[in-house]
Amino acid sequence: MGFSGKILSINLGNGNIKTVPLDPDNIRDFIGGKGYAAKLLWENTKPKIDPLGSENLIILATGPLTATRIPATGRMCFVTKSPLTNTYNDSHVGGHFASEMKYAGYDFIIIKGKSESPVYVYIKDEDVQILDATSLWGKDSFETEEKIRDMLGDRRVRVASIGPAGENLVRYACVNIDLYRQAARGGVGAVMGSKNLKAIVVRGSGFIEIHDPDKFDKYVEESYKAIEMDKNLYTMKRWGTGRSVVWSSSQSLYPTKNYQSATFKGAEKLSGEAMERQIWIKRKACFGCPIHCGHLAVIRGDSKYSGGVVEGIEYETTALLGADCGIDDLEAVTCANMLCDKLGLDTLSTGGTIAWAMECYEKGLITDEETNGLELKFGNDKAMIEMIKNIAHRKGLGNLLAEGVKIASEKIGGKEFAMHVKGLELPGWAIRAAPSMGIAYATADRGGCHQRAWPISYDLGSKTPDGKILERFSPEGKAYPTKYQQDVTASLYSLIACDFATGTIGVDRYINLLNAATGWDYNKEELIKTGERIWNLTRLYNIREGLKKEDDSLPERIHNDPLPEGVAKGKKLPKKNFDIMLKEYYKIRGWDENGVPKKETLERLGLKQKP
Amino acid sequence: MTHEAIVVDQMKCNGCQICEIHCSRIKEGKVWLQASRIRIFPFYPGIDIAVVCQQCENAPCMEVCPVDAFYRDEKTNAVLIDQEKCVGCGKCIEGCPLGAIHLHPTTKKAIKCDLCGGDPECVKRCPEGALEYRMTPFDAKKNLKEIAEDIKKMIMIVE
Repeated sequence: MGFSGKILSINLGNGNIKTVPLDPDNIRDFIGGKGYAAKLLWENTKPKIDPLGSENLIILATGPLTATRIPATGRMCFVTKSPLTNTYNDSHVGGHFASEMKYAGYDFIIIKGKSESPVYVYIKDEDVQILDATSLWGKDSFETEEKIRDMLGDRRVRVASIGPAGENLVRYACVNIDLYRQAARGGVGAVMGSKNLKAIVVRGSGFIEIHDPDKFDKYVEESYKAIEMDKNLYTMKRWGTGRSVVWSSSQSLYPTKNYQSATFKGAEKLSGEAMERQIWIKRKACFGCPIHCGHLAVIRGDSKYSGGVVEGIEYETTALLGADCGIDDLEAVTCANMLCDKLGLDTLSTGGTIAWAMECYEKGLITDEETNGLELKFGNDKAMIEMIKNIAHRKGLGNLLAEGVKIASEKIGGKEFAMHVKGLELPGWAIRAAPSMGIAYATADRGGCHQRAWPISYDLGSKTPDGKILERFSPEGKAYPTKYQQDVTASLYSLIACDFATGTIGVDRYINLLNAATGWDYNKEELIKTGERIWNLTRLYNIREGLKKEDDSLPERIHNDPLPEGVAKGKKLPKKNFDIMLKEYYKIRGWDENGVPKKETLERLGLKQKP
Repeated sequence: MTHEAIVVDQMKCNGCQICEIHCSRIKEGKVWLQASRIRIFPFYPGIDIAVVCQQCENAPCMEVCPVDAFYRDEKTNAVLIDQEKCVGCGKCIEGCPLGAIHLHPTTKKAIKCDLCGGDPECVKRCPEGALEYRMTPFDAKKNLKEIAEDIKKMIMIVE
């Protein structure tokens, strides 16, 4: 109940297709979604495999609440070993693929092996086929999706595809869904490319059974009402994530010029309000979502970028492809966003990598010869757009940048300002004005990610989950809120919930919904403990793959370079303060001084050292 | 002569499928999009088109039905299908220019919007107010592709 009931397993190497029933008892301790997919990855991959080798898996995961009537449950995740970080990676995406997949009868799809020639997978309920994709190889994501719809003669199929970047194994290539929604982070697109898998196409005609429909309906209607009435969501509905741009810059949280600063003079030009005036045409929503934070943007008029169409642009994209590259031209950033989606690149890692390259160029680490005469300076939007194409096709300098800033900086220098954690380029929330974000990034399971914990509000004065008020720049007490959020998020990402609805629907209501849907008897304490179990499992996975304490670290710039301007002018996060936070974090996690979960911690959570 | 129908403002539709979710729930007791009477179709580039019966004045479905299963509701003037008479031949599906008639996934008979007896659920549920239950003078004459092309022109997308 709540689940579709089946796991589909596809081996691209030998063409074997297998369906196994999902065992609800086996899944309960990991809920579904992220949690259960992490378990599948842990149990079904050998240690230290090459992420781009045939042994890696791609697991498409949905949760027990996905595609039900609950608002904002259209999300899913792609779980794999990341070629960018060599760690566990779950990359979440909205759109309409997850619902279609569940209606086709599958909670999880596991893709193994490697095909010898380009293929795509077509799933129509029980009918699963591996089809030739030679004619699609080389095409961009938009063309691919459109062509597949035409080829199959069905406008309602949902497509998850890769662009040239995924084919060319760019380490931060994304998977594209519904044209403009991406499972972006960690290079899932490259893993698909390494398997010669151009796309997964799904069409389902079934429905989801609910354990207790009356109770369920009551909580669903409550959730709808809560979303309708929430004042805080009004701005999200109107401006999407773009609502945060100006605020973020005013709080010195907006990465600018490769994190040199965190206050961007051009922030207003990249804000949701500016997008509403300049580029937005209509709103776009994921499956069953009344928040509809997305917008369809069209670049009009006589702009040099006119004609571009894309959904967005999201806050994170304005930060990385905009401010972090020193660019305040909204139309240029929109065009860059469109190119990334089209070619199949993560906008965050792409922006972060180009920003790093711009600093290298200005410091002489990259020469004119290497850029082929391109003036790769901060603020040069033309150069950025040219570089995006070069990265996707691994042309010239693009070939180096396609490796991500970690590998690129190991090759040519510039490590001290290579803004990544564990190889994942940092997203759009700067650290020095909100040090808690440092511990959140350093300990996130997939590297520099803001979606595992976002403890900034506690630095800015909100009460912590245990009722304390923290001092903004002091290291004390910062570990607990991060741990708490990580555990809660790991559970919610197993349901699978959307970040933008969780605050309004609330953990308690999610538990009621989960119990009504599945017939389980979760309470809040158990839900959080389950999150902790999932968090420790991904930690065990990462340690198995070679993660060391040194990898739980931040770029040197954060420790050494004070912020040059803004409300937190002069602030940095000294290494010794960071060490205090990390030590405290390990302690409350029940991990030893090297960040390895202690035996008693694993026993308490019912986990084993080895799968 | 004019009549009432669910009129879609395609520019407001965001493609969320909430109308489908609640249509199928009201009609079938569960979220079952394959049995929804209203449906969303995505068109490149990112244009979602909601398709629902326009209860045409001169309804082609009525004319092509070989067993005369179609009739008008006295109260709402909606075009309805007598499920007893329908043989599931699909002629009406082909005959509808809009594509607003579907085969039920299990009964295999034709299904379409019946205006919920004059209080359509989808109209109440649409978070964008893209659906309106009101008088309209139009017959459905266009197919989906033509509607998509019109929207593209309207929002100045040139390819």
